Amino acid sequence: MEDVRILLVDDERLVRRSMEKTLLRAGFDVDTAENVSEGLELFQEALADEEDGPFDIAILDLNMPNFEGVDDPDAGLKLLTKLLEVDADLPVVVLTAFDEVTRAKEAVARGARAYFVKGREAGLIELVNDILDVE
Amino acid sequence: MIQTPDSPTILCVDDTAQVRALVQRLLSHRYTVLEAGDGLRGIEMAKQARPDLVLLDMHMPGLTGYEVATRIKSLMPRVPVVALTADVTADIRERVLAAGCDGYLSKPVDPDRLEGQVQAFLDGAREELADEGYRQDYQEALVVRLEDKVRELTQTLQRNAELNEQNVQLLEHAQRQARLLAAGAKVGRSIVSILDLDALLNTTVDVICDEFGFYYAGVFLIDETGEWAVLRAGRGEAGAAMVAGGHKLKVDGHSMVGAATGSRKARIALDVGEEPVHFKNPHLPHTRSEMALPLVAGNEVIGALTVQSIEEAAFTDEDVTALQSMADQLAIAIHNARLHFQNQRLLGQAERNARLLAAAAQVGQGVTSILDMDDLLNKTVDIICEAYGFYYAGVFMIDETGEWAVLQAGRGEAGAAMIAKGHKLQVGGLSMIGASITQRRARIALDVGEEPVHFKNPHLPHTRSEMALPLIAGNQVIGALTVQSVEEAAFSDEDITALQAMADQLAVAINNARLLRELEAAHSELVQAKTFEAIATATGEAIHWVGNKAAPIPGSVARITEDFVKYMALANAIVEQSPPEMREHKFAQLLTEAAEEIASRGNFLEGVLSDMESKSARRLHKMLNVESIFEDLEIIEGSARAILNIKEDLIGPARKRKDQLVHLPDLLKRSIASMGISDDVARTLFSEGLRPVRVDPSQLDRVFINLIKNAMEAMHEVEDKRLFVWAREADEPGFVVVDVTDSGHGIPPEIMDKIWMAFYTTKGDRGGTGLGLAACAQIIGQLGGKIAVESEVGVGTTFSVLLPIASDEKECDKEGVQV
Repeated sequence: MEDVRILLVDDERLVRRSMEKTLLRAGFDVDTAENVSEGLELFQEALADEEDGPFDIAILDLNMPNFEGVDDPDAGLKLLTKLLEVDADLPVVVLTAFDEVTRAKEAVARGARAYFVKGREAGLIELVNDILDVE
Repeated sequence: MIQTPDSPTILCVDDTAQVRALVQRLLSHRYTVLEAGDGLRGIEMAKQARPDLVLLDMHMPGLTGYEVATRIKSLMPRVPVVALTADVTADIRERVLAAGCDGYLSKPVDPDRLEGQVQAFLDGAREELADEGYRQDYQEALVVRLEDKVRELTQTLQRNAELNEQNVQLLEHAQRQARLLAAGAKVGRSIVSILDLDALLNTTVDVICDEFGFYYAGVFLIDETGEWAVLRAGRGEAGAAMVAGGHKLKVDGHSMVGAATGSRKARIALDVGEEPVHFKNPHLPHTRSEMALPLVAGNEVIGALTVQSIEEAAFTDEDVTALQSMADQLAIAIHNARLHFQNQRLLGQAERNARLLAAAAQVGQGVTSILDMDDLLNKTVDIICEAYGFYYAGVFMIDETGEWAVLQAGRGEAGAAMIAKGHKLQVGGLSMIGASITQRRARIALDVGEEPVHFKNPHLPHTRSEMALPLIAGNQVIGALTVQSVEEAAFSDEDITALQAMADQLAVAINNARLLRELEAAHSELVQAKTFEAIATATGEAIHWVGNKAAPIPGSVARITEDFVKYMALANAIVEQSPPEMREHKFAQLLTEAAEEIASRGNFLEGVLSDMESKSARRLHKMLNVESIFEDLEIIEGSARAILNIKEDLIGPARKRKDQLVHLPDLLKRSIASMGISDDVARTLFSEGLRPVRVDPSQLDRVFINLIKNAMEAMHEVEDKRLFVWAREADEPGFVVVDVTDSGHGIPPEIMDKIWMAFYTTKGDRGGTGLGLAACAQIIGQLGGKIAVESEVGVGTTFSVLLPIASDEKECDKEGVQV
């Protein structure tokens, strides 16, 4: 399980840290980014990382500052698009607030593997495990 | 005629042309023959021509041959005069010789012998009268005949004189006739151009009296009933007195005027005492002759002209004709004047109508643009009363039940009093309003006492005319308009038309106002819906925001719980492995109780423990440490604080305000200072003598701190940080304005309208809760001010806060300015 590398991108510090802890405790190798640019950078670095290898799964928030630094409810979608351009098979889970499920479903339609409504973080581990089991 | 200068001249005097022609034919070859057709001419010709012989017919009209012979013989005794006569009485020869003739030839003329007989007399043959008695008889007869002639002549002269007299009379008569006709024509000319009826009639009677020399003249006109001829104009004081006294005579009555109007014929009373229909008028005691002439215009008798004279038998038939022709002209003139008056009246009515319609249009224009119902109705009644000069106007509207017309607006105090009392009238009831609504047509009571449906209103005691006009919008009667006047019969048909047109416009306007009211209601519902939507959005945003903030809490709680369970499992394992006396220790007892409690909640410590036992110490440390617990507690605390912080943003603007006079420069200086912004970055400019505002200083402070904080955050990544706060009098009178300008990254146009939205900015680390600007706008709005923003990406942003200058500056001195 140590081998599973997760990229977590969320601009909300407390949210990001809480999820990171949850995932770490579940035994995943977690790298975090606080914006889409940083997230894309980490992803590209990992592609060239011969020791740890590329990320196995990416968990992306949707509503963040976009690549121009402007708040954008679709910033996560834009990162999703870029990640899938590089690796079309990359499992991506999008994070969403409970009231933004529509947008998350759109993300799934555009290639995300699943969406996760923020809150019950134990559910996120189950979701990640399910996706990885299928892989 | 053959003549020779020396041939003898023969004069033939005969009244028979054939005889003269015969004599000419028989004698002219030898003599010069002259002819005369009668005695007088014969004598004249004899005098001039001095003939050598005269052949004279004895029987001629006028002067007889005898007399001519006597006259010629006395003029020229030597010229032989020969009688030519058909008279065969016994003593004819003696009688012609007695008259002076020299011979005698009997008719018919003997052609064969005439020349010889004439020549014989020329040659000197003469017959002599033997008996002188014949000469005496002739002279006596001549005298008798002369006497007859003189008498005849005298008679003729007398007859001539009579004829002359007659001619003079005829001439005079003709002249009078001409003068009358001229006077008539003058009267006619004078009057036909007069279009004012009274002026016409007065001028007429004056002209008649002056031109004709009459004692009195008067004009009667038949009144509307057709029963009376009323004196409209009379000559002099008598006339004025009678006109003033309302002098009138019954048409077809016994008076001459009455008879003239009744019979359409002129009547003359030459001696008034003898005329049975003449009424002795005490105003006109000297009247001896009177004439009454009917005034006929078209086919209608419109009155009569009376003409009176102090002379008996002053009027002849010709006078009647002349005066009647003048009366006819007068009648036409009166007719014209009446037509003119009618035209004037029609014109006046047309003008009044135009004025009414203009007023209606004004009302229409005035009211159709008014969309507030109460304003509309009140303005309407005012405009109606002012434009038309009416005493009162009121608008009734039918209530929801459809049973009552309720007064909604009324002119003046009466209207206000009635509205206050809830004045209403039953639809279909006895009131004019009620009736006009049911019948859907205007009702008029010209004298309100006579109109059965009129309700005597104690508030409107002076009403004498009243009109009720239904207000019909579309096909529905929505109410009625009442218009009242202090004048009797104040409303004409045209008024009704004009007012109804106005009422129709009013109905449309009312309908518009109603529609607007409905529209406003719909709009307000829409606004409410929008508000709900906005609230829902805001609530959604808030929930979203709170949800985001709260998201880490369950994870942290779960981890802390997990860690706590693990630590308890560890503690419990150690207790279980410790010696019995240790396990009896109260601490151990406490741990054991806790473990049991934890187990009872479904956490199986054994399982947790065995899981941990399989891990290396390094892994265990990674799995379980106090640091993580405190971090999770901090996460919870941070989330909770963020959520708690929005409380102030939400309820801040709603906090009870403690307004006081605030001097803005002081407040702004303090706000900037409290934020610890360096003077290098913050610059201020405050206009001198800036007037204070009346605000809650802590709320306003909050606003500026928020704006300055935003400005500073906008310049977070900008090298050249410049904050400029500028307070001055606004262009808008009565306001001061404070600009907060930064040199930050600017606000992108696409989110410009979202910055005022609460919870728009949902990211805790940047720009707070996003409630800032929304709260600022709310606070400034509550203070009667405005907040606006101008921004250019890459250049900076300026927030402008407008605040009303305190109206109670005087209190400034009493209270002092507080900040």
